[in-house]
Amino acid sequence: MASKRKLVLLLTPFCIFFCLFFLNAFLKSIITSLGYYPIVKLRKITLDYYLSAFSDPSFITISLRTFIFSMISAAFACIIGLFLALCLQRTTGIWKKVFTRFTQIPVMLPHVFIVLALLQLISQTGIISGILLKLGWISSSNQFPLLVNDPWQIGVVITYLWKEIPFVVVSLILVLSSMKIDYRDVAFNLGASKFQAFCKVTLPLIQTSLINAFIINFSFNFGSYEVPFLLGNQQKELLPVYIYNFYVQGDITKMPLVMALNVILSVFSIIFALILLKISKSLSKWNQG
Amino acid sequence: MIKYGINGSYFGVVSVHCMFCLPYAIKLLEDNLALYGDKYEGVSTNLGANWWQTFIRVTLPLSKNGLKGAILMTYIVSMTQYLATLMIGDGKYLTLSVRMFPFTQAGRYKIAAIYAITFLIVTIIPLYIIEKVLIFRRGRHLS
Amino acid sequence: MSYYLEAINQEKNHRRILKNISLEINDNSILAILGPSGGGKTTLLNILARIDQPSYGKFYSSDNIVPKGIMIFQDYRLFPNMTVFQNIAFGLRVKKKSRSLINIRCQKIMKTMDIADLAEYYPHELSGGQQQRVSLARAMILQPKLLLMDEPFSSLDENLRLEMLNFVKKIQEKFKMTIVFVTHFKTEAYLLSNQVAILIDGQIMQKGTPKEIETHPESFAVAKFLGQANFIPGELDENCFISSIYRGPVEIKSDSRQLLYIPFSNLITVDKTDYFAFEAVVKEINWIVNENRLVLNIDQVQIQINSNSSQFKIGKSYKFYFKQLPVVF
Repeated sequence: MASKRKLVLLLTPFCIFFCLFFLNAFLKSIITSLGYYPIVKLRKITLDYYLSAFSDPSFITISLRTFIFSMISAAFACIIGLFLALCLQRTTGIWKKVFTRFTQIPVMLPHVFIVLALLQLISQTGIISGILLKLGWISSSNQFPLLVNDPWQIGVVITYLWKEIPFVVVSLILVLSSMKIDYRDVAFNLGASKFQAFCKVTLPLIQTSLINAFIINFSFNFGSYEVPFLLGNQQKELLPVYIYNFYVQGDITKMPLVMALNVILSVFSIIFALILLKISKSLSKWNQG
Repeated sequence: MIKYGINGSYFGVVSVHCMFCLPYAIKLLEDNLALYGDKYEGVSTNLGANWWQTFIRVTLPLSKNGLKGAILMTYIVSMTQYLATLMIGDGKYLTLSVRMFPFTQAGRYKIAAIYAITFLIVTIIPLYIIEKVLIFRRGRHLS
Repeated sequence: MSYYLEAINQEKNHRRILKNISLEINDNSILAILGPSGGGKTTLLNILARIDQPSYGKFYSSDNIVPKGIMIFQDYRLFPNMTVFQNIAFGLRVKKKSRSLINIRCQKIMKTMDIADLAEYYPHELSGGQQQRVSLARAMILQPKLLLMDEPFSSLDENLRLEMLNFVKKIQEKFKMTIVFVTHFKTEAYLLSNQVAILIDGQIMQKGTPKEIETHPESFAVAKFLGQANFIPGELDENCFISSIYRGPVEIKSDSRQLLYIPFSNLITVDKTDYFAFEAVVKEINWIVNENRLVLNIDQVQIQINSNSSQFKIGKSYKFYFKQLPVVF
């Protein structure tokens, strides 16, 4: 193996790059959020912005809403993805190939693309509504259920699922196919039912990657802006939209507050991810060492 | 960012994309490498190869799958990056997804759809080529 | 009670792996399925374990219950996410047995298997021998009537192998179950089993006691698999075999290959019998534990035989006899 010094040397370019962009930006955000913002003559270090963020009831509701929303859509993506991955694992031959190809397409397309497709398809003036209208199943386009910009964020959830289910499927399939031994056979031979084999054997074996996928999905849902902006409900804002709106209002004195919100969002995501990782790790004691 | 004057520069946009792509690339390649450990590198060194030969002839071919995944994934991440491109690029660097966004927002679906189709082509064709080129040799399945 | 395999055929990817296998397995016995790798041994075992369904054919028992063998896999397949205890308890746990019962039974079987100290270990922390004990315990706790073992001892070293062989024999006697195990080591098969079935190329070539198999192989394929023999090409003329080293009467098993079968042991002797074989010069004498392996030259042909006599000298010529009529395949 490479010596420690060589390792440091090899990692230097990455570290420089990482420090320059990521850490730098993050530290700047923290400093600004603490009230040090020389451009508008703010120099006093204070926690006021955090306090005001936390005492703002709308911020708290929006955060809570975003959290629940992210949890639910990430969980849905994982459950459906898990189901599909297990089905796919069992199919063989040409269908497996076709289906695998098919799951790659959503991963490749940007969210905007899917938003566009959804707007065309399921909005009240969209294609499906139009067809139903033509067929006479509904008498006006208002009767078609509100699926985009709706208070339940259904449009956003559908977009996220469309992107994230294939991601879950792909990563789980990788794990499943790297397990050369089919432990389910062993479980069946020892008298387990299908459900027992799944709960006691398959699930524990893939739980690490499942939780990883969940964390990635959750963080994305929690922090991404463009989809809720386009498809979300204006009254029931989600956190990223809320923060971005603050940011583009252009009130430069509000900058520390925006940064405080940003830091809260990031730190919360990180802590949440760490907790999940911790849980996942404690569930897979067998995998260490 | 603003301070370093890379705002609105090509370098800035590339760097930010790079930053978003790196985690994916690192994760995929690391998983791939972990699959084999360093035992084959050991064999190679033992047979008299130097580190460069080992890297070219052993490590790189073994990382083929991870590399393929990493290239595909980072390409996609970069292609679909919207907000970062917009903010760092100062709106001057129009990638397809940046261009598409306002049209979608404004409800000009026809133009947006044209961009979407372009996007589809620009994404799928290179990905297809990458995938084909990177398959050096197909594994044979012994029954 | 007996188990029956009736015309079992297995096809995978348009390849016939098992061809018309019919077999009777007696209760309370140990049957070895012996054969080269790739002969379909594991496939057959999977059918007995009901992991696979055969393409055609039936597997049933005389007591009308659908039989299912509990399998010990070649690579043990201990669940990596469970401790030794959890692995062993698995079969009872999925049957929803009470916790106290599971505890008692597990403790007992772990004591029998001498793995009581390992209860809280994970499989990857165990040695091969320990893993095998755990997998044996995991199967035995279910008190199976039919236990299946896939190459059970192949990855163990010599001493451990003998120890495990005896151990398995002991538990078989104790629990009165039927064991079917597959192996490609004939000594392993002979040591452990009462009955050996030779499976080559998806077909049962011969079934019998170890002695029957070793002394009377019924076909060329079996003889070749058992090894330790010379095959001398020649021609058949009625009941007479004509070859460069021997011409005379033979027993004909199947005339397709026209090969004279001379096993290393139990056929050739220097003591005079009714069947004169050949005169040969001793070329080499190699010591192989209790016996010597002689390399003999007959004209240009070289053959090998085992002998425990010490009368041979290198370079000298001796007269050899067959103990009984030699066989031609």
